[in-house]
Amino acid sequence: MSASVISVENLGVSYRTHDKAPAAVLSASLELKQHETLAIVGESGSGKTTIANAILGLLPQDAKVFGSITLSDVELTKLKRGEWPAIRGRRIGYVPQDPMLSLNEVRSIGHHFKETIDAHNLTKGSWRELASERLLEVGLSDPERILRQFPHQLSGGMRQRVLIALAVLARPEVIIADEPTSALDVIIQKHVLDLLEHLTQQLGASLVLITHDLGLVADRSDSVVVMRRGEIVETGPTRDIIGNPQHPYTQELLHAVPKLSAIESRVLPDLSDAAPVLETRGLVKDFKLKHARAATPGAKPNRILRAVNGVDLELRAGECLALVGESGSGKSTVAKIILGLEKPTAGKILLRGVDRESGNRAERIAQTAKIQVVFQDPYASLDPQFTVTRTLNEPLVIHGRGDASQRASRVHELLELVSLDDTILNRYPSELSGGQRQRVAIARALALEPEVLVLDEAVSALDVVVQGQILETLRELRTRIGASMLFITHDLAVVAEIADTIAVITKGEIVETGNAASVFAHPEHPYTKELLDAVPGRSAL
Amino acid sequence: MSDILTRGLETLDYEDLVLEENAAEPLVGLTLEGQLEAYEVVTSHSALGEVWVRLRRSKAFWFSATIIAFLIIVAAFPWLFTNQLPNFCELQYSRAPMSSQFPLGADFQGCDILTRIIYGTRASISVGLLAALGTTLLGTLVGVVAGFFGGVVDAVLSRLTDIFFAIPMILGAIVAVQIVARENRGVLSLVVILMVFGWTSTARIARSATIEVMTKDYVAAARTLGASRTRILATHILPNIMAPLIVVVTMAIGGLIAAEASLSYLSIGLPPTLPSWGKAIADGQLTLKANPGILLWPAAALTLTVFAFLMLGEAVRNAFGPQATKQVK
Repeated sequence: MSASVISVENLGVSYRTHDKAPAAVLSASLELKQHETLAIVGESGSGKTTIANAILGLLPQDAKVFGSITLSDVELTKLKRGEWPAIRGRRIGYVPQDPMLSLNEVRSIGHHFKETIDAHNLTKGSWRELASERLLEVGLSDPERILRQFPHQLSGGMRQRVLIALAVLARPEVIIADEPTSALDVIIQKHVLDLLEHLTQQLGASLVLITHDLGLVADRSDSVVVMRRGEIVETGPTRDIIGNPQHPYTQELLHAVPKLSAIESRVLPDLSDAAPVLETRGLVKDFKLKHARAATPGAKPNRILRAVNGVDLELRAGECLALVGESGSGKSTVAKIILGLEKPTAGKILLRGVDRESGNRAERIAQTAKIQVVFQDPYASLDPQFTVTRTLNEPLVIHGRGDASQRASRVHELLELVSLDDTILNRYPSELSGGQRQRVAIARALALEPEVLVLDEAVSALDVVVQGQILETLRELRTRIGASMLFITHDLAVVAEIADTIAVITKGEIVETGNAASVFAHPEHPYTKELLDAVPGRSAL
Repeated sequence: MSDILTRGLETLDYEDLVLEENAAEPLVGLTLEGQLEAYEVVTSHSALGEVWVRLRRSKAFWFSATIIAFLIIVAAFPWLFTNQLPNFCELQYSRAPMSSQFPLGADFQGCDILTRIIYGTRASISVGLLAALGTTLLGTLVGVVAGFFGGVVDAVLSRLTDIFFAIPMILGAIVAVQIVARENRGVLSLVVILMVFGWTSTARIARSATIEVMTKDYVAAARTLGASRTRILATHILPNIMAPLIVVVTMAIGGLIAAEASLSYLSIGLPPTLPSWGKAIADGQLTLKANPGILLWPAAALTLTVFAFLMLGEAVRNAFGPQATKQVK
């Protein structure tokens, strides 16, 4: 048994807000051992970040703290404001969540280093030398140049590397990383986490990794604390908890988390005879930029950004086709063009073999209605002023389907399809949970009996348990009404849970398509391989 | 426990949970989650309903609303509050001190100050409310059209807004009164003038709110459902830009009342035959040292009114919350 570095005992935190919220953390106890990586996992609102902030002394003034937090010999809850600098940044390093928000935009990267180095008197020599050394350590070559640059000149991954370099400047005993990679694409996420792991080991430090992603927990941590609504429900060595969870909530989480291995147990439908419902032929979309920009460093600057470059897709009846790509790959632009929200620069969309742009206005509107969409964020996709009834009636009213009583029974039917009941009919979106909202959005998309359902990252913003339930609902819809789905996502584990066919898109071009099972088993394009390698929890879950 | 049930989930806090464990009916064996579910209270309220709930809790709202309700009653039924007529003035009572006949004294012309103030409420309130309504309608129309159609329409309307924004209201009003409404000035002509020079800030807010709502996924969803532009405008955009507009209109009323008084003070507002606080303040300057009451009483009435409306605007803005009103500076 190695010694404990941080020990939290009976920690309780409540906020005295105007509207009196429930306690953020209720009686939490945990222990971080030397050289260990401890993961705190939980859904949003579970209190995991509050614990991190309590350890770092970053809770807001109005927070009430009970219990004790000790760092080796120091009681942190009793520290006065003037005593924190000797701890925070010095003995505990902090890697924040969003690299886009966590650097001061009007200061150079060098300034950030100088500030930290001066604050802790870290060197007798030149701060520039030390900063360069540390930037090399986090894998950023040409540190002199980076020190002169400003945050907006760096990519998200580079910013996160800078933040990690800042966190370990003073060689802390403990590093706290709060969702350090949830804002990053999966491949960059892997590189950043590898770096964090490597540095922690090299420095002999201990790491607290706060995350919502069980895949990361399984891959990266030695022990884990599972939190729910301010309480710790289960804690122990990661291998035991992942392999043999005791608490029903942990079991539920592990059951719900999408797994790459799901593809092996699924029987993919035989679609060889199915007729194509939706086809895109040579879709191209150019955006005009205000200022010329180079697509890749070193390339010739261009005022035209080609977001989509010759995309051909084919969705057959009853099929679930996953369009997989990272942010900026052009997948959302493809979705918008298919939905008629953007006009393509070139190429066309065929719906049951008919060009969607053909026909008069009324015919085009009727065609458009055959492709319906569920968006990513259920908090933005429902009109806050509409009750559920009104939201579900809207498509029926627009297309003049049925009279009032027929519409009412259709609404009832739709709610039943997405496993909701009539009690929520008169509620506004603000009175629904995220999962309920997404179900309402799905029901709205189904109202007109569309031929194609486009799911644009439709489960990506949901907590894992809700995500599992929505995926289950979508699978049911496939069997019950044979919906054809175009599933747009960045998450390969989700793809493994639902899709029959995969199209991988990067830089506006499809690089690989094929049967989901064979693409997962034998990826051909190097980019697909890299994506698959980067999926967290690949082997452990 | 019933206490918590009536107060509802939103008011539940840490101490409640701790206290409940020692209470006669303990919640032993229930997790926090179970406790929260036990207290789940089902209510139905729209966004406006939520605002009303918050408004109801605001002392500033009740305070200012009471004053404003009183002012509106005074404006509507001035004869309930005085038995004299505003234009019944006799020079023999010029600058009479406070007495039972003249509770606040009489002015230079021998009119009862209190009666003039009571009838002046009418001018202030009606100009303030009508001008606020007018500026809101005009500003919303321009702003929504600019934001919704974009492109050239937006460019033209936005420059037009900038031009009108650059004209100082008082200066513009002086010129307008001199040219257009020199002869038959009245409440309506004044309202039109205040409207013409006062719609720009509403237009800017309406435009930016419209543009913001148009980027929302629910508008995109309505488009994929095949909803027409008119339908999207009427059912999705207008209701969702109401919050900042309601706030800006409430906050503008006080300013418009003050503008009416300023114009009347400069004798380019309401005609001399209509009692107006601004006019009374101007008249009171003549003998300010000897009879300060002639000036101070109408000034106090004006201050109280403007203050009440500003306070109401503030309360309404707080009730809507920062998210809904971020366009309102």
